Amino acid sequence: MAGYLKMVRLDYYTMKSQVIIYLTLAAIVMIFGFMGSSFMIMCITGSWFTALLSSNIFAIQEKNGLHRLYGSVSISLSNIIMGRYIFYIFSFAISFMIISIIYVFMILLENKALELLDILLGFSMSLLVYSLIIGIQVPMFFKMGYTKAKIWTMIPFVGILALLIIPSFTSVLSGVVETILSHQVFLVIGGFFISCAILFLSYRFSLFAYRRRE
Amino acid sequence: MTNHYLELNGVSKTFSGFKLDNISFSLPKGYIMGLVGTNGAGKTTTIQLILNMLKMDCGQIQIFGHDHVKYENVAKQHIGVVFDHVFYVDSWTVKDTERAISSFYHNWRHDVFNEMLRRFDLPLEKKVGELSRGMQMKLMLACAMSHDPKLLILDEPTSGLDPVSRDELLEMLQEYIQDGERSVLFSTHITSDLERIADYITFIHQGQNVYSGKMDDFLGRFRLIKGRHKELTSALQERIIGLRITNMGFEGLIDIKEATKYKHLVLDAASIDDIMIHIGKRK
Repeated sequence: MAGYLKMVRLDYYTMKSQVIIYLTLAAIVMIFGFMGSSFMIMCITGSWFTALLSSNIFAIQEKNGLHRLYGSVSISLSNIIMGRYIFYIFSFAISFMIISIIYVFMILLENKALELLDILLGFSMSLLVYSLIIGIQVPMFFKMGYTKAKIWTMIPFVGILALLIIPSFTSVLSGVVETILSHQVFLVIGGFFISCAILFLSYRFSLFAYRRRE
Repeated sequence: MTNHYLELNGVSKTFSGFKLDNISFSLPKGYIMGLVGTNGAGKTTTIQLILNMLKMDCGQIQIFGHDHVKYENVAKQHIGVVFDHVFYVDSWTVKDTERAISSFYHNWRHDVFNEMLRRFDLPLEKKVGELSRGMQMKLMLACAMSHDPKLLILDEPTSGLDPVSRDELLEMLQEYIQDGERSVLFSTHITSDLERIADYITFIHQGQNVYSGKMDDFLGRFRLIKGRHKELTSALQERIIGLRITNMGFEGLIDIKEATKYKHLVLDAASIDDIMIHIGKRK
């Protein structure tokens, strides 16, 4: 088994006790679904929730001194980082699957038609949101550890919320959103590739940060 | 494979407020080496440098005759590690712990692990966080020994263990090196454990290498000298390491070569503790 897959397996066991919390994801998504939210909104909410939950792995790592475990077993530093990112991607994939199943179930209940573009758009946009959160948080967690980094990881999101309060910014933003929504195929493809780029850059930053952490 | 499983040459590492300076020692195949020193002397830092958990500033570390960084993954297949505190997730059961860790080792032996659990009376379904300190230590030891490691690195494994568990652990380590193909690096500040089992000793004090070599040579190198106030001449005072003067008289450590000149005084064999305490007072 490749080193990064061993790390994914270790991360799975690390988060095993948290699985029950993930069930709340299904409940939240169902509430959004019953409220008549679009598939994209359901996916973005779900991915946000999953990304925030996933950061618990660093809390568990810190609480249990798992850096000593990583240091004692036969695994390279790059595989530790790569494995963590693959674990995050798996987490996203599972949450997307749960949301999709709930969505399909609701569509069948309501006798609506299933739009492939909606599904693709939901996937791409939620991946983008997820990658942004993960992409910013994970290098900080690797560099500073969970407790020290937790406050810092909030700053970019507080900054975005602050920008949204400014009326001139929101008018520009709504213009951008309207333009993008009129080019949905572009949004699907662009969102996917931008997400991949964010995750790749984030991986490189994490590797750099973890190598220098002592 | 080389005759020395572990070799450190001039290893240094500086932190703000502490420097591990020029540490050198070598651990031959088939022996147990004690790594001793007071709290904060640099024992754990040395172990973390060996395991490449910290980057050294200068020096060289070889494990099984190879560079410890270049051959890290290969070397760690043959190393078992136990730290002073458990480093598994507290919600894992004993069974989960094996599942989570076993995939990292090519030679993992499920039967050996089970045998160790039986021997230690460790229940498979009990969670790590629910185990006592001694049981957690035994679990770490079971994990460290289930992939047939050639080198065991133990960082303060006996601290917090009751005397019976400590005795069991020491017996196990003696059994472990019996075939002459395995070695143990054992860091501790409970030196009575080492007097029972260690063949070699490395003594670190305030980040400096005070001694590294055979245990018998280390113990034979000093005597504990005691006498009354009037017997403490200035010449003797200069020769005594870590002189302690009490109402009753004086006590200190003296080099065995110097001790022959003072046969009229009380000269006792020094224990590792005595040597550590008096050398500690000198610095």
